Amino acid sequence: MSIDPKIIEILKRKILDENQDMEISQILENWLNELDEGKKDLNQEDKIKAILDKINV
Amino acid sequence: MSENINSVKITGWSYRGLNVPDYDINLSDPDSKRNFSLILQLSGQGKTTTLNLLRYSFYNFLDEIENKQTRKEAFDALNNKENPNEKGEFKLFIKLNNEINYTINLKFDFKDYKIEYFTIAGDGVGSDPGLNLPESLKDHISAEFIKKSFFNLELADELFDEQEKETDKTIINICKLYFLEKIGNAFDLYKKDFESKTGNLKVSNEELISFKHARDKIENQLNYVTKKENDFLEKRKMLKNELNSLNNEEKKIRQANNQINEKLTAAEEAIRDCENDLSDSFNNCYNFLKNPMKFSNEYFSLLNNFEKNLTKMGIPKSVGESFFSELIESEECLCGNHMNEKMKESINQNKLKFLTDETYNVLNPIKVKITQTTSVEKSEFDIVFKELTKKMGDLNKAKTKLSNVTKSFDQDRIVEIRDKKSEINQKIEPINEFIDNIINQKWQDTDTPNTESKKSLEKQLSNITKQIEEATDTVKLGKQIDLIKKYLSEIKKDSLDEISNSIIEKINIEVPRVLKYEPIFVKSIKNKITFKDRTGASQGQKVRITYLFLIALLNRSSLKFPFIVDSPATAIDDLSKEEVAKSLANYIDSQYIAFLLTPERDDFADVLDEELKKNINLIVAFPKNKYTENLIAQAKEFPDNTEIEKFTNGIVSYNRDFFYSFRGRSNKIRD
Repeated sequence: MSIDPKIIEILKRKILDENQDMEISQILENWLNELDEGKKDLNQEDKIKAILDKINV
Repeated sequence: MSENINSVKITGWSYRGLNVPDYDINLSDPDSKRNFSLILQLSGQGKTTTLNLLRYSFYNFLDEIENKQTRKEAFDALNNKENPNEKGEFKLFIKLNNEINYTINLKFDFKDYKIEYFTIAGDGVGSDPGLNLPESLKDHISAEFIKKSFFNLELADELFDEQEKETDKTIINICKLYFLEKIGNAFDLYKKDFESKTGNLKVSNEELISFKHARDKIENQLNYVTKKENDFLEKRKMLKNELNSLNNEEKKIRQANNQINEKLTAAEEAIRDCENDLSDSFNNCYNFLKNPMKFSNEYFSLLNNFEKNLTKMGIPKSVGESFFSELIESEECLCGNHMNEKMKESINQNKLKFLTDETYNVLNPIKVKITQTTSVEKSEFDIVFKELTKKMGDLNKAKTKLSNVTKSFDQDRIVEIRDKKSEINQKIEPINEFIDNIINQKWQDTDTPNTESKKSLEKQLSNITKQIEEATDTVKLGKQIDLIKKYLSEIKKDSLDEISNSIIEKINIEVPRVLKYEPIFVKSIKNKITFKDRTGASQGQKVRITYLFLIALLNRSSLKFPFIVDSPATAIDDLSKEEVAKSLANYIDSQYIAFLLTPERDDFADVLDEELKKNINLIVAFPKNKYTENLIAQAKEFPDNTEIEKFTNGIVSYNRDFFYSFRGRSNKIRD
């Protein structure tokens, strides 16, 4: 299974439009796909920390 | 076993001790390339029960029913009506990714209204308690997903109801846009955890604990109000469906009554026509009766003889007196009778009177009448009187018809429906008040966490969150998380809009074909489906648009999950049935199972059959009892692939000819 391509497309566009680090969109994309696959060990904390490190407020 | 599940296919199921005969249904799938199955059943013989059992196989809806009475009713609906059982069993056989067999076993306890699940993974013999589907499937198989995948026509009403916002909810569920919220919630949990670990407190521990208690209280209340809102939304949807079905019934009765009005007028007119015809017949008969010459040959002969004698004798006016004097002397009267003394005396006494002009004027028309009256055949006389009898019969028939039409006017049911509707509307009223007003009330600084206004609770939560951020020195973290949540929310909204636009485009491409004679194009599916240049649509049009909506939506899902439909071709005309069937055959990627009644078969099953080049399971299933003896006899004519003796109380046939012959024969493709 994979997440609807439209969501990924819009996610990438959004992060780009907001001039944020594209690594954020990559982390979110992986996260969505892992949720979709029903993966149990998502390492959410690592993902959150990585995003918070990159996000520019 | 790989967790990555791309497809789920149902390969069959079996019933034991339920409200459906104890038979097995097998959905053959040669080369894993057969996606379509049609199951023909009798009305009221387990279609809805099966649909619910299939739903329950993937999601335990029964356990979510808290109300005891409702729970009892849901269980009772599955139990055998004539001989209720204490226990019942349903088994569903599925195949994941076209290779892994799974059996889901549902054991019903009709005494205590309980359900137990067992799962057999793979081809093993041991079964594990519980509904143990692979994790990736569990995440997909939400209540909403199952409700949409197991579709009945109620959805056609919900998708057009602004209040329900069903289109958005459906897209969010099927396209899993809710994952974005899930990620946002993970950030909130991270923040809470971070706040509890940080050592940079700006307030005392007690004060922080008090803030956190306040936040917990608000969050709990928010969860309670959200649950209440969802329960109310579900209840309102159920009540509205009930209302819709009552409205449809009322409409049908009213339409029937309109026809009755027409029939009433026609019957009254028929009576008037019959009365006129009868009057004409009476006149015809009277014409016979008032001229004795016409209804008696004897009178006809006598009077003709009289006229002949009058003519022979001349009876000129000027010589009348001498004529009568001579007549007295005659041996024979004008009428041919022997002239006796009494007659002579009588003529003598009256001759002066007869001889007047007036007398002549009387005699002459009689003579004319006699000469003009022709002899009438008995058959002609009979015809006129038979016609009279017939017209009297016609009038009686017309009166009986009028009486029957009057009797068929179902006024009592209309009153009953109105009472029920008013009862439902009374139940909906407080729900609307809660959903439209109470939860949307504006925040006031005097509000407490006990309020039922979601707006107020959200504002209170935002305030206390800010206080905690300041107290724990996590303001920056709070801003970062707010920003990422804002992005996630905007991604969800934009995705919903763009997916909706793509669905609209796909629906509108299909419209000219599926709604050939009445093309209506979709303008928007925001909250509900609306049309270009028009406000509403007929039920049949709604059903077709609903199909197109679901086909476009379900095809977006990366998981190929069965699309199961109860009564797939009801409420649509023959041409639309054909076009819907073509859409299904050509555009559905997943497995399609439909339970249909015989009136839905023609122009639907045969079209699917043709489009799919016969790569379709055509199944007939019905109970075996004294009421179905004629059907059992029919089944015996098609013994190949027909299981007549295999099950004690039911028959299942996989014979194509029987499918098309069952209660009527289609002329379309066979073999």
